[in-house]
Amino acid sequence: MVNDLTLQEQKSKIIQTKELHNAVVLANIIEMCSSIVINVAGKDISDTLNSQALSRSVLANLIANELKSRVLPKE
Amino acid sequence: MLTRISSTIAANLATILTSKNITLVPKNLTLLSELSNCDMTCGVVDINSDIADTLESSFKGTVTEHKGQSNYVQSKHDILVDNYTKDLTDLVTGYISFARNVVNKEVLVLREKLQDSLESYKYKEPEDLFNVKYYKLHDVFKSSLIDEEIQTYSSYSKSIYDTVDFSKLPSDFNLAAYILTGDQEQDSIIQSWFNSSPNPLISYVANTINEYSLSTIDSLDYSLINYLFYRSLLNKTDIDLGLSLVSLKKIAIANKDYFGAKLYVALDLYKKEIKNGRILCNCSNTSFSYFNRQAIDITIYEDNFDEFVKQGGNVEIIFGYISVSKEHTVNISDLIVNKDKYLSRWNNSRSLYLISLNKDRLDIFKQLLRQAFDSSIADYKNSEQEDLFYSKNANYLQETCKLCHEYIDKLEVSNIDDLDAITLDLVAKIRYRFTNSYYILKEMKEIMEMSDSVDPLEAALYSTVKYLVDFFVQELDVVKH
Repeated sequence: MVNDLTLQEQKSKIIQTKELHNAVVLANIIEMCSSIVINVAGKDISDTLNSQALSRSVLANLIANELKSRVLPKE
Repeated sequence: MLTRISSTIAANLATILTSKNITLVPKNLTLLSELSNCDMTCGVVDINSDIADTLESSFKGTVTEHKGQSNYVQSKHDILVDNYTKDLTDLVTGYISFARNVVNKEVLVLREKLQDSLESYKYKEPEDLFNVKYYKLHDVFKSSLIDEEIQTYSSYSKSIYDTVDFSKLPSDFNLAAYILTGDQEQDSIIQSWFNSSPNPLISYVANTINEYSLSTIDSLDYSLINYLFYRSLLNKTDIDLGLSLVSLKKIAIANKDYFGAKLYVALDLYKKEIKNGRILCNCSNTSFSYFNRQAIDITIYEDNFDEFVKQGGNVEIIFGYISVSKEHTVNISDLIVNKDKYLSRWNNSRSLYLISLNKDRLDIFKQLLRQAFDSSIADYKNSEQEDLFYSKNANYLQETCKLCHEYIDKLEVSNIDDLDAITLDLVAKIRYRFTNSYYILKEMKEIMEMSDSVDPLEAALYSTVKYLVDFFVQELDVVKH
């Protein structure tokens, strides 16, 4: 029960919920982009990245970095 | 289902965004909204649960047991991801293929046409205002025959020569052969001088020349060719000019002496010019103006120029001098003493001329670019799909030409060195504006410019990532609280 939580816990819960909603959106973008790029790479473009195998992990990080640069305000 | 790696990375990035009070809200009726809302039942999470775990489990399908075998039943999210991945893969593959195989090829065709046009057109530089020639006295003037014979004319004073009617001279008369002396070594030097002389030597013999108009170095050639001609005529007396042998000999002697004396004077004058450190021959045109687009011919004494360079001089100091003064009489020491003044003057004139040249250069570039662009469109054979597109959009090509010409009109001098950017804009951004090619190719270009080690395929991969991220970011509202 939410009412049983302390104020600090409630604040944490709200933040965590916001994080979850952001994470859902981000995860779907990363998942879709990764799948498409891997499919496209198999068809037309390079399947290597700096001569390394194009792993899902490398690709996901690449996408996340690009996403970060697009949604985070420049400091 | 979301993979573990996507969930983990997304959870980490979400923590950063949330800490900066940013919320990502998918726009209504978008693919992202459909994917994000699908199967997502856990709107509130347990305070102790891990976000990545929650994500992974929320969109997962179910596993059923049937006759001892477990089957994975796809969630609605799984089905959506599978379908959209396939559709978007086909779409993006098509975009990249079109961008690389059609649009990029046309960019390269236009670039090549433009490059060819630019190479065949020579832009003028301020230095092109001067046609510089360097004069060095030919060895023939220092040869033993000339030296010995001409010295005998040091006190000769006859100032007119006997005119000869050369209209009877045979049309196939070979002057180069006629003036030879019979001495092999001497003749080899004479032939070398005859063949290298920029002056019309036959006309120096056969026509009446206003001698006073000749420069020092022209006077050398003029005197020598006539001297050698009358010298041979005196020895051979074999040309029928309608004169008796006595008259022919008399004229030959008189004219040989006249031109021998003239050559002595010309050589003496040349030697004095060199001795006095003169740089410019008096045949140089010193009427310089940067408003006058025609190049002016200047002739520099090579011997003195070498000395001038040894003392720290250069040709730009001479250009500066000519832009200040019309006198030919400047010498090495004048130029060296005032070299800063002349250099400064040349830099000023050069800058003024560059402003004027750049305007022309821009106009010419635009004209060549228009021609190259029109020609690349005329040469291109549309694919069936393109034909179909153009038939449905009747004014597309007309509008394309209009937009391209407007783009070209707006180019500035500062833009015209970047041919890659211009051709990419014209072809990908304007001509193929109905495609995503510009985004893809521009990103590829920027990525490849960052490092020499990135090959086009790798750049295409990065470009695809950027394109897809851009596609999904367009489906988002980024809300800052």
